[in-house]
Amino acid sequence: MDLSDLELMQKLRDGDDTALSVLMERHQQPLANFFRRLGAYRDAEDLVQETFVRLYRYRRRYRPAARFTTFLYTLARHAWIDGLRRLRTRERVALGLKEQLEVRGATAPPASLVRLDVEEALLELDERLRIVVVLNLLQGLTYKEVSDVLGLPVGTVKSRMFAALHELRRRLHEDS
Amino acid sequence: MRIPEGMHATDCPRERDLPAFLQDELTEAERRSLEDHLRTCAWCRDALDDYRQMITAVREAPVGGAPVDVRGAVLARLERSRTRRYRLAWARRAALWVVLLGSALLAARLLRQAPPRGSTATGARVPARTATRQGGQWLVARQRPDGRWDAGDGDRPTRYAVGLTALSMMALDGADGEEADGATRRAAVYLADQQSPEGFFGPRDSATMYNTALAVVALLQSGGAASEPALRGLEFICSSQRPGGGWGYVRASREAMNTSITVWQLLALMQAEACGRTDLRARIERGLAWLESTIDDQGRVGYSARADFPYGYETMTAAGALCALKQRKVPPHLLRAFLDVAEQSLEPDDMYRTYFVAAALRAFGTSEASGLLEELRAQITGRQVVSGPEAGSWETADRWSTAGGRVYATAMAMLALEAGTGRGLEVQRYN
Repeated sequence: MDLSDLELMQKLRDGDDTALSVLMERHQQPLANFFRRLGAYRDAEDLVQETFVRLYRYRRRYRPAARFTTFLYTLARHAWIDGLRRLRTRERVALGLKEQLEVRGATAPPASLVRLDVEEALLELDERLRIVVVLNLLQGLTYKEVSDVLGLPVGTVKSRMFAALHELRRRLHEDS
Repeated sequence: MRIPEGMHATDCPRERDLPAFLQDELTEAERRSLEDHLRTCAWCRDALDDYRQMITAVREAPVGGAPVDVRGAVLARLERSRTRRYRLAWARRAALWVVLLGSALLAARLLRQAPPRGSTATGARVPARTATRQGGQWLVARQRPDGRWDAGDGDRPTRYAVGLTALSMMALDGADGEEADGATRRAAVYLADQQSPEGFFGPRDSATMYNTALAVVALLQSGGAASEPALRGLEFICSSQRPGGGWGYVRASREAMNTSITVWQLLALMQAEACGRTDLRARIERGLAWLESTIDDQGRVGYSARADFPYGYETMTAAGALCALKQRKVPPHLLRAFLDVAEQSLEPDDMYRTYFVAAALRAFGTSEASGLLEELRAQITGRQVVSGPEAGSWETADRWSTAGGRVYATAMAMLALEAGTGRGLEVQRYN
């Protein structure tokens, strides 16, 4: 029978490193989706790697009272925050260059790049709202778990969730 | 989905509870209260349908990107980390013995390693991250108003201005702070301004192929595959590939190729391939095949052909090994020759060689390679100028430093350090 995440973490804490491979196999794809949903298309794989390296490094801090995914996504969020500045630099450079070229009448990006759908609307959300939607609706964490990962009161998670969905609803209606 | 006319966020204050209601996140009392409210509020009933559909749409939105499998990479990183700790522990014990024995040899060695003229490098081992940050601050302060980095202080751009600008951009990739962001942005615009209608960067001269490959790598790294100047530069690189598979000076004959130019073009093509340009595979293979043709029986990479070593074999062997290791297609005799070179290259007197050695060690990734890389990085940080007006920079006396000066040495040192932390010229993955 497959061991639970909690049992695997206990084995990892006790020095059985093979447990890490099983945890990685189980959670690497949802984590990659998490980072991609947040907008890290190019760096998703690196961020997944970084999250598991941190999981190993902090394996002794895990307390079985907390759900494993809460612990994992807390580490993932920290990896994301650390990686975000680098991503922003790259985006700003790309944007600056694009604006510069547009001023000179250079070729516009192909029309296929312009997409108006849920995925696009999600990426346009304020980051504080987007991470709540991603953790809750896409990664399946409850409001309480999201609040633990983000270090926010549950009430704030609830109001951000409403604000995010309200904004998504408004944008999609505007587009339709 | 339908939206009532004149809709506002606050048309009914209970609307705020609807998402939580749909997700079963309300308390029992809240849920009952909202159910009562829904019986009398048409606004909220309409909105409830909308939110239900919205939640479904978000949950079902596809996620792009290929499946990932990071298990091998993570286990390799953890292994390297363990090796580093072991080596550090060993180094501490060794240092204790050195102190106890009062080795006069150590003092003599330190005297022989006096810092370069005009600098105040201490040889102290500072964290690579600190050294890189200070190097970044020095570079940002040296950027010219037009966005370029250049050798010397003259107003006119030198022949290597594009290459130096691109190297500095790469070195700053991942550096902290808004100032570094702004500097990189200005540099990207400067590079775009230097592009010729044919796609190459800077003037057409002996530096053209270096300038173009470096600019393409820097622009792809900072702007991704959407960078139009990078793509045009790439087309120029492709059109310049010689029938023999390698690259050479633009004004040289079609038969004349050399490994130094070829390696940089290959690194640019590999970076572009990682950005999704899968059509470049055949060109990369041809370039690698030409490189392989320059390897002699001892695994040493020649400059323009087998056993041709006008500047020694060490740097080109490391550069060739970097390309081969990135492709995971490294001939065993090349690997052996490279590891010999790496062991002999732990004094960073030549930043060109140092960069290739560091990057190739990282691409190799075994514990042996990681150990050598750690030693090399410690030596590089020990050579950084730590005080005075040039604090944060590096200065070396190799043949490229005479053309690129402190900007060149600093950018290459930072890239060599970053090659050990997963940044620098590491190929980015794109989905």
